Amino acid sequence: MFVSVRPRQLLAVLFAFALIASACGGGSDDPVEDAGGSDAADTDDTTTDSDGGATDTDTSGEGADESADGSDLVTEDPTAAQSGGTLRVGIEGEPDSLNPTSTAFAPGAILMGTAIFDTLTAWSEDDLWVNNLTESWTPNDDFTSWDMKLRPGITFSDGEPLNADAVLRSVEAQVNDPLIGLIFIPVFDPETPFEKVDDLTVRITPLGSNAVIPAYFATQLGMIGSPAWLDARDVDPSLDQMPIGAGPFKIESRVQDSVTRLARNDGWWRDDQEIYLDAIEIFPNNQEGQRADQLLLGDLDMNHSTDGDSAIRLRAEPSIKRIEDDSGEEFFFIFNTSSPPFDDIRVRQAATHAFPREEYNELIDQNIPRVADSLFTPESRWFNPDVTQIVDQPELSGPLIEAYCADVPESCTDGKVDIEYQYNGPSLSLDNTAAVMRNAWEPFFNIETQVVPQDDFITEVATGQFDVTTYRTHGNVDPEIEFTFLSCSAILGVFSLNWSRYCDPAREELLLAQRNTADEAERIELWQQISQSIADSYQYLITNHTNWIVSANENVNGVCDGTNVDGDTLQCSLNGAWRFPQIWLSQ
Amino acid sequence: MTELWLPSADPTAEDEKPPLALWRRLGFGFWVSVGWVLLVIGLALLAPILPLEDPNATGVGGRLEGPRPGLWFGADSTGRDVFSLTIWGARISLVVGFIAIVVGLLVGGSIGILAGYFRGLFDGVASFAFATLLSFPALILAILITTLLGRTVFWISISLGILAIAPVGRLARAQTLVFAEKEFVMAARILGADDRRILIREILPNVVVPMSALALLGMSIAIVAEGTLAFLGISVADGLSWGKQIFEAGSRATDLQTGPHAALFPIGVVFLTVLSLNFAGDRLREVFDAKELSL
Amino acid sequence: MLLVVLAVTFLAFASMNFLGDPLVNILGPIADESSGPEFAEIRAEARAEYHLDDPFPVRYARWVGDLTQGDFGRSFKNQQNVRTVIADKLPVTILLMAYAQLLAIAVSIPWALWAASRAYRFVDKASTVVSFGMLGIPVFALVVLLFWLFALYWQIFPTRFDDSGLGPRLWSLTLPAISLAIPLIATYQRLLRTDLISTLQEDFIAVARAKGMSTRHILFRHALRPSMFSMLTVFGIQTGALIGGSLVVEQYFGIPGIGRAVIEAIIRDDFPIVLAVVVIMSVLFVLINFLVDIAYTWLDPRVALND
Repeated sequence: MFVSVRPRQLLAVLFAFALIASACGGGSDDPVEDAGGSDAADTDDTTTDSDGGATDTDTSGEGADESADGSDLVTEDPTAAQSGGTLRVGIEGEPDSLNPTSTAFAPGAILMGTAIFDTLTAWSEDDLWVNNLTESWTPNDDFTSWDMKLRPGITFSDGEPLNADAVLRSVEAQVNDPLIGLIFIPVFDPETPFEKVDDLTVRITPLGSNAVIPAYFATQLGMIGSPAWLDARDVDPSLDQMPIGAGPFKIESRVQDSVTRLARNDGWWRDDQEIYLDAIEIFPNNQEGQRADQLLLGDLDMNHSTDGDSAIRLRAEPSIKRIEDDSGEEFFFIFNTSSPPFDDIRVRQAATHAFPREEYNELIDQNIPRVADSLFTPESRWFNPDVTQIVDQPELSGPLIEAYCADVPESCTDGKVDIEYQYNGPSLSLDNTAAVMRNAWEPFFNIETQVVPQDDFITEVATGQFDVTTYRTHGNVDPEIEFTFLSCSAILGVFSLNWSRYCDPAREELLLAQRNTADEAERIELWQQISQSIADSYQYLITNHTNWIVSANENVNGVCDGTNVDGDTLQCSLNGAWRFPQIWLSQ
Repeated sequence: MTELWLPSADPTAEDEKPPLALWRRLGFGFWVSVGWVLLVIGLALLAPILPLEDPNATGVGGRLEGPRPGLWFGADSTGRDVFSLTIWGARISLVVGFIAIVVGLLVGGSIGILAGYFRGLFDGVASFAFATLLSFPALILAILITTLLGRTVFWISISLGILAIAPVGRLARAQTLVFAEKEFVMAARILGADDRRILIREILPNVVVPMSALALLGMSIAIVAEGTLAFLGISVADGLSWGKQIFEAGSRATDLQTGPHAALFPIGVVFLTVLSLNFAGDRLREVFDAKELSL
Repeated sequence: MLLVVLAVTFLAFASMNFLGDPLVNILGPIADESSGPEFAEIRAEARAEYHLDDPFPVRYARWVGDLTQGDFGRSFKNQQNVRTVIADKLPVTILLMAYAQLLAIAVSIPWALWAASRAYRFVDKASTVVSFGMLGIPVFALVVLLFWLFALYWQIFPTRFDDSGLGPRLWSLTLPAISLAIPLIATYQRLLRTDLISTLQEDFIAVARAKGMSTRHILFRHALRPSMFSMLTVFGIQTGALIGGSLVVEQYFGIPGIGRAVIEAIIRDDFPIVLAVVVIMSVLFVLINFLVDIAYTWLDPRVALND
């Protein structure tokens, strides 16, 4: 049977893209290399990248939150690197599929995908996009067309060449996917988004003018699969589990919910970077505490986690190396601004003012992740220090609710606003979140709680069937990639990737303006205004910056030593994903 | 959970003793058990007017704070009062248990009695249906029904009630078969009593007694079943129950390590309640000598 | 027996089809016409692929036909062949259940013999109380309790399923198996003890005793076998309980077995997997009870005659 029909999850995809976007965006710093090898070899060809000013501007990257300990993971003496060994990694959830053209990747999939596929571009440690599988990017004068040039001589692990045709095959599959493609509707020209110029060059046509296009290819979109594999996969969908890419590792075996084993790709294109590990084994386990146990017991070599308890335990353990990074996703509540009662800003304000930030952080997060008022951490160049949310002031909520109920009595019962509070489950931590929030909102709202399975949840949020819900996303390194999730153009009728369905023409202009320019100072200014606009709209109640902890045992080295072939140091970890080839185990 | 649909044990033969007053024959343990169940039911019923913390109020105690005066069972990971949660949790557990067994008794009981009395095709069909229902892994069936119909108290009770139909029906049928052959039924028939009269006047009273013992056991099973569903995250979405409480407190290793009390207290209460129901049911069965009725 | 299995499959298939719209389960909200014409093609493809336009009996017949050929279809969720999924996950579940049964038998038989040989003495009564208590702990409470005691407090057993070899696998399955075995032990012990006590009152035991055989010899060689009826009956029925219990245990201990798979599938409306598991479990259940019937004749040839 040709299962071209996709499961509902695909819808999820959309959604997931939120995740992706963040995950990818962030997480996918791809490839790697580490300072270890003879990197110098490779001509520092400062590509012609016309990455517009974007790349060159040197801003104080936000990666700063990598806590001091992060440095543990940097090799002090790269020449000490040793080859061999299998790295055992714990991840928080098993991906349904490892096919980037048909599934939105969550952090675990990004991690594996980065090892298997690599990405066309990547994030540098300064949070700028840099070349990776590509050699250069050349835009026209007004950024309405980009020529992407691939590096010559790259092959997939099945021996097929990675050329313009292969890129078109993968990228078009994603953009044309009826569901995943939704996210790219506001990004690429609907007619001919991609064209082959020559064997190694692809011309990309954005929708309108876009100076940040290459950044998109540092996400899942930049994961290119072997065309032969993609063709075979159309006949046998189970091949979604056995992807073939051009990355430093190739998949050797995979048993879902058990273990996925990746082996070194000996045909990897990079000569400047030795791959030290023989293999990587990925163990999914959604029990956070158990993964921490396993790491401490030495049953795992590395782990990623957002769990507060794990954080406390791992921090207390001097032998564990950690990179903590909260520059990625935020955790927040989304209000559906398209239907009563949250279409009225007073109700959104009341809910926000009643947010018990202090109690919340103590009980839900044990004060581990930092509180957030906007999508950016203070270290981020996009951060606007003036943006704050008014929380912990329930006394402000009463009058707002009273006024609202006087105006719209049909949305109220007994002087309280009727709302449906939705979250995806079963999830213990979201149960706890709900307990705290219900307690805080109970004086002003009649709350009906709904626990919805993940797939349905995504669907219901995308189709606007909710009042308020919890969410974790907006983790992209370059905020342009959030465009789809903030723009009016993402409200596509039944579906909306603009989850809260908030549309403000003035903000739309800012959003368009920031993508039209490569001038970073100008973009920063615009994003500061956008952050303010998000806060003023009360469309979200932002609670925390998700704190991802990548932890490793003492014998794991070089996690943060990844570079691209041009010698740029790549971002170490984002949204719980990192790069593998530069990692080595001390025996 | 299914294990309890069977007789948990064959009653050991009672020594022949001179007949005692009923309440004496049931024994001290029986009354203690009944007392405990009544206490739990009473507390659950009175929960709204008892001087308890609001079970939903977070931050009443510190995170996983241990037991202390005023916070008898300690606090859970969101600082809720575990004692209050346990009492309020009893409400859903008991209601579900009660409705489920009532459904089982009404539907299963009547089908079983009719099948046993009239025999013939109806009996064949009913027996086959019972056998079919019984060969489903019970928990999977419950999950299936609940997922398809909705995670509300009503539907969960109904789906557990459906599970109770087959075992109850089988018992009622077996019991009816026995009595339908007895002299007093024959006599009634010869005297011209119609089926309805025989069923109601002669058969029913004799079937009801052993079934009441089964009802207690059944209730404990339904409570366990609801707890299991809740534990698996598929019981009543918006409410408190023992299973959910134990799951929340017990499924994060680190929480369990820091504050085992949040799980152990409700576990203790569930244990005592199930034990009491089982014990009381067993005693009733022994005393009424419903021994041959085991499935 | 075959009829029962058939009825089970029918019931399961029917409930999946009538208590919800299969198209919605496959596609989610785009199954709804109102979601717009751009998804019409997907809807049509889905209808065609899953033959949703055929009448129900035809679909049921096709499904059963496929089943008999070992074709369980593909997961709605990740397009995996359901048979592969089941083949991946069934072994560990079977291992767990067999382990639990073995533990239960290994503990309950000696315990029952010991108790029966001291029938009605204080130790026997005390042990009866203990076994009754063991029946009162629901599996979901038991797993938490045992996990806390043995994995966290005393740290005897690992906290997680370890699949790195047969040894570690069995060792890490021990705690889950004990959780499943405890109610079984109690059930078996109680039944066997009762039956032993009545067997011990039979004439042939008195004869053996008169011949001067040791109590131990009598218990093992003469009394045990004819006393195992009730236990055997229950052994079959308990398999159903075990299946239920394994859902809880697998979920709690993170064992990648069929129980966990089915819970996840149910939550995600991944019906092909749910249906496959329901069918397999029911068949297993019926089969074991069938074997139990056969075992009766081995235990006591008279059964065959009497029937």
